[in-house]
Amino acid sequence: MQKPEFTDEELMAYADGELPEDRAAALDLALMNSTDLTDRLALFMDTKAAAKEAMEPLLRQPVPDHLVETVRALSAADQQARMSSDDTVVAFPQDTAAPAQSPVWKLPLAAGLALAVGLGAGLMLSPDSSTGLGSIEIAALADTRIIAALDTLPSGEDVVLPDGARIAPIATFFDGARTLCREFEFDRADGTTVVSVACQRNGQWDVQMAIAAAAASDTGYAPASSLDTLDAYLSANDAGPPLDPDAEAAALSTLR
Amino acid sequence: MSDKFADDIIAFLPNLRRFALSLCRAPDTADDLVQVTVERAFAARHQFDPTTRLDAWLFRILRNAWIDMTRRARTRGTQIDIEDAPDASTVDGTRITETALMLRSAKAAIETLPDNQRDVIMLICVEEMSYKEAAEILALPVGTVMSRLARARLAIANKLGIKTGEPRSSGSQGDS
Repeated sequence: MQKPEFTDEELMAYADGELPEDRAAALDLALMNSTDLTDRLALFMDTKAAAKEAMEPLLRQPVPDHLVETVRALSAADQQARMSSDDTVVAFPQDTAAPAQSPVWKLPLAAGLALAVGLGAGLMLSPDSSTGLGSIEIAALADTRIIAALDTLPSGEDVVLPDGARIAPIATFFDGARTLCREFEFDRADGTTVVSVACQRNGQWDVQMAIAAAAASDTGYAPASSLDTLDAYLSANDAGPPLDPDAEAAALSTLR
Repeated sequence: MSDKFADDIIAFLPNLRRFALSLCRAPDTADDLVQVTVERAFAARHQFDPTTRLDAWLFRILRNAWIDMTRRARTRGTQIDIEDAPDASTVDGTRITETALMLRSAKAAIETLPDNQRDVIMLICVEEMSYKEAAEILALPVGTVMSRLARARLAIANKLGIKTGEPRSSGSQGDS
């Protein structure tokens, strides 16, 4: 039984103009003598053409005005912002796995966004007079009410604390080191939202990252851009998928 | 005041919507996804490397936003409604070679692929990203992208009745 001289992937790469030159030259020759090869190659060319053509009409659908307006508004806001001042960014400390393998653009930080990573309880982002953001204290993990919520509250539920702050676990997962972690949102009474990930270390919840943003919008949620930072954190730490409710309940029950 | 970054994004809005639609399959959700993508793009615009393709960069942001949206939807229990694809049920796979029908069945074939195969088809065959660009967008090794892409195309060929021969072997019948 003769091994195939060219794999499907090589034929496909040839059809897509991605086969390295030496292999492409060899395939050029082989194609002259084999209808089998030409048929297999045609399959990859035909499927590409069919896919492209089939999806073409979608490009002609009118784009909703509000999307274009959003771009214009962001562009205008951008130009204005550039005239005034900028971000408050606290860099990753060295002990946290920075996403070294990630392209820089995977980690966008928005204006008005503050980031701090890997500090213990009572972490504090220093105020920057230029942002007007003021000092943000995440008293989080010394706060027994927050600890209780992380220990017991299922993801998707929230609890409002007496001072009007709200804590809402978003997801529970294991990171690459099989450490139990929870992603949660913490809305302070003053309207500041903190998106945070805390993991279990030595029996306590240790803040791994926290992104704080003045709630700029009516929704009170952290701006979407802050979630890119969260994405980068999650992928850098091999975060597993969110546990389903049963698995989450089981994982949390081990904390008691 | 002109802003090339903004103009370029507007030019790519149809492509972003198309890719968003292939991911979430619900027009309203797709538009939300594009909206989030645009917001994130502006927040991160100083990190865009102008020597690379803006559309590839935007697709990467869009896909991350989608992952994030599904992650939240799962844990919050909100449903993303999936619009049923009327095309899928009207194509019966007979040998009618009308172009329109062929296109609809190609679209249906793409829509019925597993998500991870549809992603590579959309990025490489439809949006014409290179293997490397698609790999970066999807955060996968190029080899994985290639094997998914090959599998996806064999599946589409099967559904469309394009002669698939016998891949990797020498037994094709040679009728054309």
